[in-house]
Amino acid sequence: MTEAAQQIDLTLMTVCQVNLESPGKIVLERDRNSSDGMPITLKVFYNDSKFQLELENVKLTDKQLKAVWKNEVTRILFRTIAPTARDTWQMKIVP
Amino acid sequence: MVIKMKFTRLLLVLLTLIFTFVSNNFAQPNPSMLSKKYRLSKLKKIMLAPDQWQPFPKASERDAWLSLPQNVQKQLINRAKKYVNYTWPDLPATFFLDFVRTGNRDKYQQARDFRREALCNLVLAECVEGKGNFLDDIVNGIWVTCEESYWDVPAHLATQAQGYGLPDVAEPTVDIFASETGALLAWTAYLLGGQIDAISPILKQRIQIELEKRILTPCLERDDFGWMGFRDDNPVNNHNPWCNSNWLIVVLLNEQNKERRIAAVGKILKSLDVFIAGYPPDGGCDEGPGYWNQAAGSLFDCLDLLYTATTGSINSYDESIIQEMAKYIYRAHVSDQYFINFADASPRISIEADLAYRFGKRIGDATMMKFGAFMADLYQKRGLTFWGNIGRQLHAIFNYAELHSAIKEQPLLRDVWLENLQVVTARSEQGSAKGLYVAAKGGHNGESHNHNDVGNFIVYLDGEPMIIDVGVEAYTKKTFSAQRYEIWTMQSAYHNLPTINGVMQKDGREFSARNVNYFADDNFAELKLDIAGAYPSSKMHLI
Repeated sequence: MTEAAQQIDLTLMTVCQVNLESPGKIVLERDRNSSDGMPITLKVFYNDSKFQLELENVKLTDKQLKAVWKNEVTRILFRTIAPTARDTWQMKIVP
Repeated sequence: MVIKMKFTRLLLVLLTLIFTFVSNNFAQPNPSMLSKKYRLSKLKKIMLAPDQWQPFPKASERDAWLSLPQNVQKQLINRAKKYVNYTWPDLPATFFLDFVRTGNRDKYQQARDFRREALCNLVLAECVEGKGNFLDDIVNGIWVTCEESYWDVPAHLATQAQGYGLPDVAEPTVDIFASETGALLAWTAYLLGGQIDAISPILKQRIQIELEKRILTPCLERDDFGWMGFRDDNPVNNHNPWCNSNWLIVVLLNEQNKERRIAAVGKILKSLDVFIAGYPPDGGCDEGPGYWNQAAGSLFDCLDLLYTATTGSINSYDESIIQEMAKYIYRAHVSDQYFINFADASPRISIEADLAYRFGKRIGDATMMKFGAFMADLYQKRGLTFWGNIGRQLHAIFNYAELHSAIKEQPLLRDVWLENLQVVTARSEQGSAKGLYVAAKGGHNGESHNHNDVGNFIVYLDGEPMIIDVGVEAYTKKTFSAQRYEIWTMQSAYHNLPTINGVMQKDGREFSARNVNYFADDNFAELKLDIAGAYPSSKMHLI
């Protein structure tokens, strides 16, 4: 960029429960639809020195969306801490 | 701004955003695939006359209906019983006006849909049972439908000279639901002609008058219905084959004048050519899998009607573009009930399983046939066997035994790359829903039923959605207005994407992915794309 972006926000939308387990690690958890009863989890690793997290619970009111996702989804917002002109970020998503 | 998504099988999805600076043109299919190959002079020779085209047994052909599997007969009769002595829902003008007054489409559409479902179910039940128990209600259904001021829905009045509001009966315009209604009445007269004639010959005469006035004449004489594709100002989408398939049914069943019949079929072929020419060679549906039933699916309806109405002389199943459009639906399948849901789509859609099976059979694709049989079985377990319009139900009824005894298998393809649509999917293992599944897209923000979502991706684990595309809310007046991108589900900020200094992606064909690269082998799949072009450049200064 020719000038630093003051703010970059990266969104991840999830239907899972979001657990901020430790700095740099998020655990997404949800029940399985299948019958074995064990919750299913996905881990998201990010660089916590560069991002601050915000969680937005998006309440669903539309019947079509509620039919799929039930009452709410979560928007995870990774907000850059410092202005950025050139950078590389990596995020790992693992079971 | 480059996003690199690397999917390492069994292990992880690696998402890399690189903030440094770093097209989507494709060779169009033959724009006159059908109309040049099957000119009017040829159509005259190969089209069957109306009384020669007998696509399904009529109700009077009792052996055919009584030889259907017992569970099919029972289901069709039972579901219609609630419509005996049916009170047909009112369609007051104020329901119709809701669309312009409040933007709400539901009240009118629901009441209208109840009417169509009732008539369809009654007709099929009478065909199976053949005892006349449903006939009076069918007569009421025909009558009330013929008396409707407009067969379509309030949101589809765009072509009417007087614009949105109430429909002008002096100017019958045609869009998808008017054409569906026409086809329903045409099938009703075809299947039960003798029975309703015995009650009153006025009924079939009335159907014919209404079909002439509302479908056959306006479709033949006007070129300005947007779905036809003869205007320069708008690209076509699923409305094109959907309307054409219904118009074609009405032509084949009810157009007695040979010259008009050939002219209408010729015009339909020309219109379908516009639709096909809009598709990229990879057959990807930019409207999303949720529209496949009506996009490629309705094109198949047309091709199959043409095939049978010419005893196989019109045969386009060996065309690559037709085959790719068919296969798109299983390439967009995640597992079980889930499909990738970019654009206006829910992740859980009900694809027309019988149609998918038959389409697969016509193009000689065993994978697609097994997929269709698998989905039919999945839906049946959830109580969904016969649904959709009456023409498709007729196919599903008479194909039931074959479909439900066919080999069932979901494809669960390890890797898919639709290079024109720029959609990639990758999973841990071919043939298994276990492990990770990722789908991502490039493309542009001028797609049909577009969301501003260049670079978006979704992640499933063991067949369950984890990182999602929310999908789309129920349509309102705002959905297809200048305010579309005020709706949060359409905005890049509510997709898995960056927002720069509060600036989201912008809608329009020019806001697109650039330098899109894909690679996959046994170890990983990778998509790398520059999404800076999807944002308004005045707000982003890239080196």
